[in-house]
Amino acid sequence: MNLFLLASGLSLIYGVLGVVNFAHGSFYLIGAYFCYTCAKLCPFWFAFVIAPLAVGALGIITELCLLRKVYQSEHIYQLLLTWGLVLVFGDLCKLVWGVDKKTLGLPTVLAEAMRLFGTKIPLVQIFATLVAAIVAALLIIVLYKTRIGALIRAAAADPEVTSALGVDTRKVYTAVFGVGCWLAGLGGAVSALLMPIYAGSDLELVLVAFIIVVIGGMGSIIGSLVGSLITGLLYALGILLVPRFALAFLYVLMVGVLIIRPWGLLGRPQID
Amino acid sequence: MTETRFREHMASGMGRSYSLWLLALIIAAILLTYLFHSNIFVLSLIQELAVMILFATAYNLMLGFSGLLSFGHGGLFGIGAYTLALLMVKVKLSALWALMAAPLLTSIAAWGMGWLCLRLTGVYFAFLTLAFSQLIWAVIWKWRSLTGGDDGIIGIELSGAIGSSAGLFLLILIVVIVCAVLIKMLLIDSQFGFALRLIRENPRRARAIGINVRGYQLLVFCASGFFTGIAGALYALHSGGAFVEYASVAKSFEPIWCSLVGGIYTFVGPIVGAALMLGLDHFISRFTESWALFAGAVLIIVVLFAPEGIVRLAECFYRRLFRRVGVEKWA
Repeated sequence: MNLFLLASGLSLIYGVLGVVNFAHGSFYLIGAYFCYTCAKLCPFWFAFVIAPLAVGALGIITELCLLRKVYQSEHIYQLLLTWGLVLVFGDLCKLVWGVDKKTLGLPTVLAEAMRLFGTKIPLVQIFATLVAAIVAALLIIVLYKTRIGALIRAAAADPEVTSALGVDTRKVYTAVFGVGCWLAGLGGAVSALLMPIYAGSDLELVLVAFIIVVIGGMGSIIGSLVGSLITGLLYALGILLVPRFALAFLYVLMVGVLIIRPWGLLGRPQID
Repeated sequence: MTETRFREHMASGMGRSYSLWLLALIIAAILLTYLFHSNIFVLSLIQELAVMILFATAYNLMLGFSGLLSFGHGGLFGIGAYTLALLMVKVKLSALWALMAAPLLTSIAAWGMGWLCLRLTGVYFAFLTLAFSQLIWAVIWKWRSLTGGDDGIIGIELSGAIGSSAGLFLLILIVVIVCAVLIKMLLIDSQFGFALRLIRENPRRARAIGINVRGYQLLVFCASGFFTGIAGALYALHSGGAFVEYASVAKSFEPIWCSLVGGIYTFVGPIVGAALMLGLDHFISRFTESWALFAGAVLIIVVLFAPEGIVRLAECFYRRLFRRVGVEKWA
């Protein structure tokens, strides 16, 4: 479920801005690192809230200073710009936090396990799933049931007409990019609870997120929810059966989806 | 925009006298060998540069000339390097045969990759190629019994004419030169090349006038893979082995950087970019380990301020200079 937070941000940004954010994994990693550092300085829950917000702010700054300049250029340049960001962020993380793995101590509340259906499930897992579920519900409600959501969908469907109707689409873009990065940061903060943080996982993560989004359908939040569920289950199954090649299962699934429905299970066909 | 690009394609680069260029470059290579045959450091530096130039040029066939952004060439490079190393170390083939087999296998891999990835375009294509490159990397890394895992394959032994470092140097240089001229002649200044550029600029029109867009793209992917395979094989010869980082994402990134910084719409762009990258790499690694930080920053700056690369920038500068002096003819 943690993957959903990552994938939905990527999908949201693509759906509205039309930019695939290569640096999404980097934002996720930065979120994890921020959470790690903040948790040392202040109570954990505070860190858990503040770290994703900081990542969102970083995203907004990135959008204002860099990304905004390349909306008009070809896709290649947008992708290369975010690729440059991956390199810069990746190296900065290594400089600040070093290359060795970092583990976040669990707060005492989450350190226990709960008995459910006869098996013991660590409370952290339940917490992570809950966070993702709440965020998923919130995202869907905001996007499809509120005025803000309507504005975002309008800006995604036709930015020209939307801005002609008096909506500042540039602000919408900035906000959406910020929210997308916030989602990535939140995913990172949750992941810091579940597993050690290590530099260099940013690329792996953005790839997995991309696979999920391809399977689910680009730009569709529900698609990325379905995609991350399928991917998570399949990956777990892969680890059970052939642990060394668990990732290969995902590739096979992705290739299958690409051959049958290149635009993803819940996406819409590409128009060129 | 389109028109000027086409016009300058016609005018830029080697022109039409390929055999003359081939001869001149080979003579230059022989002279270089003669000059530096005792200086191992210079030889290996130039060797590395030559391989990088071939890699970047092969890569730019896709990025610059067909508008396909691939992040998967690291994987292909790795396949080239591992094919050569495996054939030479495990099958005991001679270097020449291995050098011929490597690009063939790589282009087959490129065909498979292209067949799947070209179902989608633009950003999807870029990510898919990245995913496949990662898959290749993972297979090389995990298949210990064949590829030696993270130890790589070592122990390539050279004998005969290329047994000496000068002989190897000359071989690598000549292969690179021949490949570069072939790329320019057959794939850029040809009907094929013009069709590619039309597809890049306007795929719909290309389809409307009867060009098989996907077929051409698949073909250029194979061609690019072929030359990438040669570059990978030469690199394995150069370093005496094949290692898992040859197939890494970082390797995929190198030709992209070279092409973009040099200028993707020119033939010389990637060559200049390759020289710049190696130069900066050697220069910067003296001060700091954060090469990626620097490379990323340069990439961002180039995308924002000089998306056509420094070769184009230099061209503009040079034109303005001659206009100012009043020599319109050279401008």
